[in-house]
Amino acid sequence: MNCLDFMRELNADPRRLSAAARAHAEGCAACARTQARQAELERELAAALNIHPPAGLADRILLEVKLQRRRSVQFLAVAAGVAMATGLTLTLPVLRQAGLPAAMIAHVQGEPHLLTIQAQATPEALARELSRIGAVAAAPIPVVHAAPCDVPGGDGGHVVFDTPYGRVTLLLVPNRREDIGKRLEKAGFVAVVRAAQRGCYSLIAQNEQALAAAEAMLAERMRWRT
Amino acid sequence: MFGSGKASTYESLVRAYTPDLYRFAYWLCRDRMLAEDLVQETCLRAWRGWDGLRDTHAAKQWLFTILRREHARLFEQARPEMVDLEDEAVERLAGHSLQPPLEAREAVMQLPESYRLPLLLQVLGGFSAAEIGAIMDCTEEAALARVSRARRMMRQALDGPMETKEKTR
Repeated sequence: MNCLDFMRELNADPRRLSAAARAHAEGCAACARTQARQAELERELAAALNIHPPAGLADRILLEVKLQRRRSVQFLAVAAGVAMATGLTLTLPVLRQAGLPAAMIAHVQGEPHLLTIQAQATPEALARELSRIGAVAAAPIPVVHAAPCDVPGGDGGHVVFDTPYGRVTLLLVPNRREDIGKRLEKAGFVAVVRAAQRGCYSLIAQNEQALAAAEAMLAERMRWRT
Repeated sequence: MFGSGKASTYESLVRAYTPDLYRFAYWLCRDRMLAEDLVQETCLRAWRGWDGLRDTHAAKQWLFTILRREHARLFEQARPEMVDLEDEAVERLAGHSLQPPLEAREAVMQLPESYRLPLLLQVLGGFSAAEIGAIMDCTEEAALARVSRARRMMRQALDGPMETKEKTR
């Protein structure tokens, strides 16, 4: 096996290298280094892909299947009984009715590491994200994360910043304008949706004081483009 | 929750594979609500087609196949695009200033679907090239080629253009 063959195997599946490939890496310092770096990248990739499923998803699916199986004269009685017995509600429809604030809280729950990371985002990254909703930062905001993300309607931005009462997430939703002013408390989070110059944005905090501080900070430091 | 043998096996499989299915669905559509709907629809279809499952050891691959097809059906894409976008995509990816791990996430999001999908199946699902080919309705060789290309794109996006060294050896 030569280096090119080794690289082919490494690119195809680093976890399933043949004995010949492993032997080659033992005798070739360059390929061994590449293999080590690839192993790091695989760990980074696995960490990046490891989003958390919504709590209770399997229960909701099983409940739905059970409901479909018993869709008969007794449907309503059975559904209510199962829901009461398991403590579940028909979450998907409820989630739909809860609208954007529920989706925003679910989004934050899916990326819990952002609520604890020690980092500092650049003013340029913040400016890029705020521009999605037609906003600019008129004064510094203590941002730890600012990056594109997927939100309903697409083209979203995900900003996380610190307040004296805790970390707050600002989700930028440029292609939707709905549920303006709506608040929701759920799963230890409180979310509110506000209108933006383009679309809307949502603030999600873990307590009311942090949410209020975030709203005050944005009122003071964020401006709409003219 | 489910009583009979068939139903309890089904319940075990749903509980075992829902997290992986959800991650796969999310990285396919990149929308949490839609991902949840996709997983639910996958499991409902699996229940309805349960009798078609010959071997429960193949259930994971079967569920991923259903989900992949359901996603394709929703987006009217019977098959992933086959256009060779390597140069364009690599150039686009390499143009970003990426720092892992969040930037790895961003790089995955920007991979063309025909490359992202097999990479997800390998990393998230742990599938072999033959299994990926079966899920994607393509040959094992084609699956292998796409995974390799996806991995090269990712490495270039995260580490910069080190491919020159690889190609000249």
